[in-house]
Amino acid sequence: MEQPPQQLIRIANISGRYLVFDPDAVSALRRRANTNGTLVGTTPQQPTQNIFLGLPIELRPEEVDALVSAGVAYVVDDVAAHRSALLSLGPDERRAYIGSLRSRKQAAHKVFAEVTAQKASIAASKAEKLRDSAKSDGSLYSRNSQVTSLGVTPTSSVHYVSPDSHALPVEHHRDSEKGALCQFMLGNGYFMTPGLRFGARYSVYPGDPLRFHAHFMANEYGWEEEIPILDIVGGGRLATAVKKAFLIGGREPSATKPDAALPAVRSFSIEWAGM
Amino acid sequence: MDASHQFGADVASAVFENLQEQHQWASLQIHRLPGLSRPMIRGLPPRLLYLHPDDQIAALAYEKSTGTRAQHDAEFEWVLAVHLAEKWTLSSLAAVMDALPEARKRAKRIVLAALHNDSTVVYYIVQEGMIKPRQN
Amino acid sequence: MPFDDDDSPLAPGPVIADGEGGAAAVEEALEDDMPDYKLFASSFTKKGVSSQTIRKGEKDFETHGTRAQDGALESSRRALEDVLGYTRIHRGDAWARGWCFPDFWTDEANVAVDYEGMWLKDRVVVMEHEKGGWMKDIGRVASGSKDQLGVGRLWLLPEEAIYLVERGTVDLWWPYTDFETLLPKGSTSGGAARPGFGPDDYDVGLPLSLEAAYSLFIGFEDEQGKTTLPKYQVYAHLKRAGFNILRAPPEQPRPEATEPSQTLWQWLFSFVKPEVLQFGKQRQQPFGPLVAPGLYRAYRPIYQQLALIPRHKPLPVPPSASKPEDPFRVHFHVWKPGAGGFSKKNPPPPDFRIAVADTADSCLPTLEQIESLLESTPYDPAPEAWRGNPGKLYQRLKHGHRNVIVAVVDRGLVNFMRFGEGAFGEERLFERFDNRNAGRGA
Repeated sequence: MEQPPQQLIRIANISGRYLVFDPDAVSALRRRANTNGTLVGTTPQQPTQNIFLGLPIELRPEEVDALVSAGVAYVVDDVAAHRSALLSLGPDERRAYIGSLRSRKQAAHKVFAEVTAQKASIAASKAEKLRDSAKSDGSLYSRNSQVTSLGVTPTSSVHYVSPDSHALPVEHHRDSEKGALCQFMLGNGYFMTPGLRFGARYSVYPGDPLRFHAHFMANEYGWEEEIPILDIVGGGRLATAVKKAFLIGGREPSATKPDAALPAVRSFSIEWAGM
Repeated sequence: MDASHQFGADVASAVFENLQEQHQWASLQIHRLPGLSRPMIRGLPPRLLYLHPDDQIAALAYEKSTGTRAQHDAEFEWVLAVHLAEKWTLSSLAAVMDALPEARKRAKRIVLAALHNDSTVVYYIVQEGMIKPRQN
Repeated sequence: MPFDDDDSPLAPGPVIADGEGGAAAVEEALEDDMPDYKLFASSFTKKGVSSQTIRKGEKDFETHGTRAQDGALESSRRALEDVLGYTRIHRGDAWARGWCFPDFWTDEANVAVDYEGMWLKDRVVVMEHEKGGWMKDIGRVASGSKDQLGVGRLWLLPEEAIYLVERGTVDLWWPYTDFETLLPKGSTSGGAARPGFGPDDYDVGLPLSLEAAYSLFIGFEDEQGKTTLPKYQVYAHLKRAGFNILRAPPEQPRPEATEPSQTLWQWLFSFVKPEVLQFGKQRQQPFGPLVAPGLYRAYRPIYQQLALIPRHKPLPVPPSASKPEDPFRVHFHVWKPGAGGFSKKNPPPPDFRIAVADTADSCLPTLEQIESLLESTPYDPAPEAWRGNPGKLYQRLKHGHRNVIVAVVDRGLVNFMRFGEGAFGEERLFERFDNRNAGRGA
């Protein structure tokens, strides 16, 4: 289901970290705000691997700043929101939550029944081939009867905690000195992931990282912040070795763009010259 | 001439020699650009130093359709000579870019030459803005 | 030949596997922050597909504006959305419920035995019934008097609780009834749910979401009954990889490096300047050549004269240990999967000691920080079999005399870095020069 375009995306602040648990919100961030975040959770379907991770996603503080100031998202104090929901859940909310759990259980029951029926029909057709149809059905139905009571763990608290409970006011949000480069890149359609593997702040993609390779390893600097030439050499050499450019950039204080919602950012792309 | 001025001139002359002797650059000259305290080197590399990825794709397409290789003449480059132990800022790099005359069709670029104490020099292309990397 | 400026990485032609090209290929594979979820999703319909067999899909350099590319992106997004849209379901036969009682053990009315490694006051979830093999390193049974509430039951630390909820093992509930009604004294864990206390009985409590588990158990540094997000992420990463992992016990205040009792003779000599005592070495002249002119028939005396700079010598008991400080202190003890003899109550010495550092608020450790971190770990020189074997030189250097792993967390991305106490001064290459057989020719 598409979210209506004006609906703001809820970002949970849990002890200073920014997380999104609702799959629809994660999808909206990716599709509407070119933000994929980092998937940091265990996928319950395959919990013994570290390649395909699941919800929640974690966002950087400067990404959150950019999303909030672009009017795409808002932040809630999720610890306080849960505390008040757990300690004083009203009868209506309680009913609504139980209703959502029940409907999920029913959906799951239906799926299990379908799977069982499918298995039964496969087993039955196999049995037919073996001309031995006497035994198969009984065991399948007895297994089915065990699936009467199910527990459900929703991923997000969307049916439990009111979405704007303990929303943090926009101005409360830290106006960081840095973050202009991130805001600039998000505003220009680039995607970002953590740059840890290449010793930079960001890996920057020309589109969704699901489809595209990164173009840049990027670091933000203050306009007058000292940049060791050795860091330019190291960053440029490493980026070139993996077919990327090393990008440095930051807010240019004197430059004003009266019309633009985006900060005036100046950046430089660096590649090894090959000589 | 104060010390920092002399330092800039010394680094530039070491890089100048390296370009001339090791890399066979031609028509090398040291320029003093208005508004810049550091000297800039200008010269012609023996072959084209940088080709934008889009121009590269165009060249390949040309080669495919005509069967002949696209010719790319070498272009003059601006070289900023620095010592590896220096620290620069976005603001000082921007000043260098701003002092350059308006460039060809692509973004302004310089060749950053970093000189080390053992007289090794390494060269990096620095371009204005977000320029996607070369791919071959 | 790792970084040779004469090799152009831009040069056409195939990349060499063992040089920079190989490194680049590895790095590129590592770039996969976003592997292909299409393949992942398709693996559920097949049987016996391991994560190793799921390879990354082909990606593009940039957008071509073609419908095919848009279609490929759209199907990748749908696959990811399908994977993320999954709801954790606990089937009756595998249902394991945990109850949140975060303040239970901080309440003085509740008493159980607390001991090193128990972390009783940090245990926030009590299991009603538990099944499966995950208890090998997770949870502790509170011990004490049988007439105490909560005793005899399995209790979870915050990181254990989130992890078990996240992997779909535990159904976490918030109680709306008192502890004794839910979990009466003396009743054993396991067995079927009691009537009135099943998964559909919402009067006694409510099931919690994964988000609720994070909001309850992720906190700031040193919050009781919580863990930090980077520490949880490291914990979960290692659990997913199959390791056994426990919180490291608090550092023991190390006995002051007790001076070995000195003889009077040693005491007298302690007044003599140490360089005079360096046997086999002549006193350096303040001028003149480093190597005294003369006839040398061996390398050793020459090198010994050249050894001017004091070298680090690792000691089993370091002389003055300073206390490691956050984030560079050992937080987890980790054991390789499948190693026999692991017991969470009496764990053997760990295979790895891990500190957790976050890129947001820490830099590369200083020499002092890494030194005190290393000195908080036991002396662990290379195995006996490697010693004295010139062929094992690099293995010995890499192994070091102490070692520790720093898990570096960058907004959810975890990388591990091993730091070893290196001692190049212990590997005197020149000693081998004199042992070479004559007749090798020059």
